[in-house]
Amino acid sequence: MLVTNDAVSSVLGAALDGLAFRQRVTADNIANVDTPGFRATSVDFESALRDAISDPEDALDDGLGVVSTTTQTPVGANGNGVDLRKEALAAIQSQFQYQLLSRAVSERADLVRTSAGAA
Amino acid sequence: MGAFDLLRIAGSGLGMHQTWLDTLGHNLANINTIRSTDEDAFQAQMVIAEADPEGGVRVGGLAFTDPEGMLVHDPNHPLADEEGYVRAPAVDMAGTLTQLVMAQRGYQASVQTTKVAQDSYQSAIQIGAR
Amino acid sequence: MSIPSIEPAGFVPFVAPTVAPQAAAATAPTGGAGFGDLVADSLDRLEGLQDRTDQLAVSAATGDLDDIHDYTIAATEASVATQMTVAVRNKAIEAFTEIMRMPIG
Repeated sequence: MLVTNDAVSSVLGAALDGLAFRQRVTADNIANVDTPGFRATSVDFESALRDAISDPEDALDDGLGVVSTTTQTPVGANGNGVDLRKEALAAIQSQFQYQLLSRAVSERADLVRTSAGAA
Repeated sequence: MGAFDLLRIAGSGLGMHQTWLDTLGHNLANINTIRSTDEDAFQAQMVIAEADPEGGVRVGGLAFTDPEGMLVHDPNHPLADEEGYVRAPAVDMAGTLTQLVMAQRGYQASVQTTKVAQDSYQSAIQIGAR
Repeated sequence: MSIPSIEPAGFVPFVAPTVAPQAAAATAPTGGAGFGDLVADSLDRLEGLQDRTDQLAVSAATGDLDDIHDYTIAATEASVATQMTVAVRNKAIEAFTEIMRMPIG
């Protein structure tokens, strides 16, 4: 596993983790679209990832902080703050980002495979 | 994220048209909301669409129709004044229904944009894939 | 009834692009270092392609990628270039072993 244990692989792995977490949170938000008093949560891992890339030393000390915050969307009649349209679009976007990053991981493995002489 | 701007822009179109549909529904629902002459008439809501400089559209604000409304002679109405007048909202039903169709078409167009966006992203991800 | 010519409609006949002759002359190996230079040069370019792909992958991870196809095209280029380089390497080794097997005298 040494060949894929570099910085780019770590970044891709962290981003896939973050996206998977965001997908779970989005699913939770959509599941609670009719729950009275429920407030939607949003996930930000990109800022932490960006900071970690620009300052790797600092990131090693702190670990990658994924921030999930309660959103301030307008609340409906039953105190529910889920914007279904926004969540559905977020789910679609996360899905494509996940596909793209999975592709990136595969491509990097394929480069090693090709260089090693496999077909 | 820049790569998913088309999806975000389509979403903003969905949002604006949803608000427009909501206000039109509200206006039509209140088309027969009669008030007494010493009150303001029901004021229909008008969505002010505004282009987002980042791309897309947003609701810039709401405008309201004239609180004068229309004075209607209806002496049998319980809210009628001494001269037999009540205040009806200045909502044009035909015009509102026309706008309802326009808003619906705009919403459908935005839905179509989200589908095109997804197809495009899928194709872009498939470039060179084995 | 007369049928007008299609020429005025803006039809431009295809003109094949011409390749500058000095490009061919530059790649022609003149001494023994020619093939080695070619290999080193192509390895440099391959590394450049792979680095660019990695940069785009990282920008996709942080959500700063401008277009999906920027990454997929770069990745495809890097992948094809790597396959090409490996193929050239295999051919070169094949040729080398062929020469080594050559009976002398």
